[in-house]
Amino acid sequence: MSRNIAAGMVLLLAGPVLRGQVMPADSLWEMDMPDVVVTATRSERLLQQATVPALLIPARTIRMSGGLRLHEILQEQTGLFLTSGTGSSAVGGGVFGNGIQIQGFAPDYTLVLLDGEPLTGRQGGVLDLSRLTVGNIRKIEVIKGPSSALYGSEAMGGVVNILTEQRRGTHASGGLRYGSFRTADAYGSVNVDRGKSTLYLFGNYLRSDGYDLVPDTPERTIDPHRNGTAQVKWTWRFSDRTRLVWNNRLYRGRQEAAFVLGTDETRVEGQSVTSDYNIQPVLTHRINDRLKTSLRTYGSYYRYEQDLYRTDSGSTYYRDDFQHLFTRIENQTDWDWNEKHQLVAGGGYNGHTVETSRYRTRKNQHLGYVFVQNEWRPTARWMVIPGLRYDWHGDFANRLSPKLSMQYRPNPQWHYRFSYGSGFKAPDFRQLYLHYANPAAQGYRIYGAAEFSIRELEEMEAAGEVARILPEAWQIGQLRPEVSHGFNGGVGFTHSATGITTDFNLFWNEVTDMIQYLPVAILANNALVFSYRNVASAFTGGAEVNVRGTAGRLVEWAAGYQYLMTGDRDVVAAIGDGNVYGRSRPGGSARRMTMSDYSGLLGRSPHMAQVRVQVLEEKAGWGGSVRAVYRSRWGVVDLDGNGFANMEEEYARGFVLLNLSVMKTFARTVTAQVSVNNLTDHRDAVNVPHMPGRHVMLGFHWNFLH
Amino acid sequence: MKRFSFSILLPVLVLAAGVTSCKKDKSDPDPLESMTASVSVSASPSPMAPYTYFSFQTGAEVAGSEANTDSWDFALRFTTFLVNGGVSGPGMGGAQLLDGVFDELTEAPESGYRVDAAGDLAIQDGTWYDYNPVTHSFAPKAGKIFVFRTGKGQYAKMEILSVEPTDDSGTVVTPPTLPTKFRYNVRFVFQPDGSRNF
Repeated sequence: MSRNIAAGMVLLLAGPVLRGQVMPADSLWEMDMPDVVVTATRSERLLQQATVPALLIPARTIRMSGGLRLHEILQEQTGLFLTSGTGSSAVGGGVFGNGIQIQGFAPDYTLVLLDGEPLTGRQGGVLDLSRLTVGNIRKIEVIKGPSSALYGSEAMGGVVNILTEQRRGTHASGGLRYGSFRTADAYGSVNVDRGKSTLYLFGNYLRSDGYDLVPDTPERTIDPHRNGTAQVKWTWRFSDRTRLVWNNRLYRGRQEAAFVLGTDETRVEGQSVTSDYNIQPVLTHRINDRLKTSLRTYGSYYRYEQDLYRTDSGSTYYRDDFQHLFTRIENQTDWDWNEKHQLVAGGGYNGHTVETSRYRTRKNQHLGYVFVQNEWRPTARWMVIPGLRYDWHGDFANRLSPKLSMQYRPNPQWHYRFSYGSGFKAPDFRQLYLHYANPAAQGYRIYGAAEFSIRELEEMEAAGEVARILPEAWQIGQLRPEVSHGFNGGVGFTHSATGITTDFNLFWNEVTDMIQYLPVAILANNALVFSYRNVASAFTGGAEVNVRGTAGRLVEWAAGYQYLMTGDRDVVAAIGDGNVYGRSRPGGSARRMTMSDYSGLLGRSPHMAQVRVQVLEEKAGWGGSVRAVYRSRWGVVDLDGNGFANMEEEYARGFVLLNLSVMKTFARTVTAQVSVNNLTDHRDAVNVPHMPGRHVMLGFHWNFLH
Repeated sequence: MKRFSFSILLPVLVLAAGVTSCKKDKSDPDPLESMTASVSVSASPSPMAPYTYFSFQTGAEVAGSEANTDSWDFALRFTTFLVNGGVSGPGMGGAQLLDGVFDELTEAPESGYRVDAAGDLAIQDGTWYDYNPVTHSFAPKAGKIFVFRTGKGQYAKMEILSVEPTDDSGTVVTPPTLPTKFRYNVRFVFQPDGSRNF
């Protein structure tokens, strides 16, 4: 890699000798090959051998795009939709951040792993991907469809695994980027290799003024923010057979907040601070050629503090403090018991401790799990992988998650995939423990199902605090995990003469026992009391096609398209019964809705397309990429009470995002890069606050040692 | 799947402004013409806020001083409806809420009318609109038909077309500006002959 121009910015292409071959069983030390995925089976396998839809984003693609944060990279991939909480701090302060939707599943149903361990700190179910810098990423793997049989809760829509740098040799590099909105990003890394020990150090600092898509309002769309990330990864090889990787990551971010209250024009200011620390020691021991075992321990601490005060009186307007400690200890053992069978089995314990002003007391959760998976190659052409996982929980029902995936490869050009998996999502903390009263005058209240007490409501009713208890209140009880059954079937074809690969996938997911909040009582002041229940069922389905290839020696291109259909089972049934009504325009008279009016779940675009062209002339040091992403309109709000978008006013406009970047390497040491993002200048402050207008970044990257 | 819709609330509704009194709806093929009207109420949920009284016969608001007569058919405060019957008024009023398409309801039900009782109003709050706890906005559900027995014992059907948040002058406001009033835009058919036919 060091011989490559712009080392650190460019990774080697996959060696052609690997293609179509079975990965050697002993791949413990060979994790740098870009065509290898680890997330699909919890062990390194060639991408072409994946039995489930898998996507791999190499560091090269990330570097060439000029993106700074993870969400910028993921939003350019087929079938991945970036979602955003509202940007303005006036109504939540961008609290929810940018999450990713996979196969039509909301970000709550997507597991995000960093070096194989789950990132914590979800707000409103969303893990903010803009918290992650891309400077230390070696590659990103995305597995679509349910993987709960391997990863447990949340792996329902898919799994995003971010793999950070890990390599041999001594390297040092750094970079500086500056651009629109006074955004500055500095990063540096050092890799020191001393025989048995390798130390990797990484640091990143980002600051930005944020931006304002609606200048005539007192608040900014994205408030000024700054954050820092540090990573220390230390690898110690006790012997050829035993290795310890000790990975630590620290993140701390600060976001300003300023807005004006509509009621009396008081200005409110303040800030929110997010802290996220992970510690991850992994001990791997190869017992013999066929048996490998690893002990993974993981601790993750997340804290979100928001402090807002009124500028006129200096008094506190709002204060929020959320702390989450996650600990895990896990063993995974890989046993290649013969040529045809490779077994992966493991088990572990997860502990959660959550403390927040929104819960009554500190909450502890204990969870245990075991999993087993067997990779079976009955013939050279077939691969069949059954898997099973069982999760035990304290505060909600246990869950068994099976999975079966297979691949048939009749010849090197064609392969066929099929997989079935069950996914689940444990009730999250708010659904269990929330105990929250909105401080506003007509404030609503929300109680988690574990906190809800009908007796308490009855006492409040007797005291005159509650006007009426609704019938639903008596149905609140122990929550069950939300469950999905997902099917993926696909075919891949590589054209031998051109090397163009086409991958087609059909998917269907049925989700049941979905947890929703619902009103359970009406307070004396007419405000509502909410709690949570397993009520809804839904489906997501669609088709995805991806084509990629090269043109000449210099050009790499890729294109993709996803068609998505989603729906709420109850709504579909009610439409069939003729019991769903809607308006044709706001303020219009109601009419009966038919299936042709039904647009599915809110927030889902039926069409998405993506094109990427990368050019890299290594000798002269020139490179560049153009990426376009299209997303068709999507429902954002329900204005007529039927739960879906059927009027033009209920949709967000579709758009094309066009990004461009060019780079040039000088003397094999310094690379300059200019990127222009959102060339078409699409702006939608309400529905796409995470997307600023056209903006420019200029960056320099140095390789000190290579 | 999304728990909270933080995205937007009631965008500027395109209903013609200034529909404060009666207006004929020409598109209606029924023998009885449907009318539209607007009722403005205080945006305060306070139980101290005054009710706004409405008569289908005149298609207009009725002064609060006539609260003790049978000349009004429903009263509205924030999202609370009263009928002119039971504990709320001296009239013969009652009401029921049906699901369906307004024009398809050609006859008022013979029975099923509820009257206001203490703590149990004829029209239950929360049944005919969606409330967004985050933005405090509410939107009337499509397909909810209010069937009233009026204060004088005649019949009327009504649907709520929209509820617009406004300031005191009647101008529609959008967040983060809080409204001081809600303007209910309704469509109704009133049967003056005492029969249940619409």
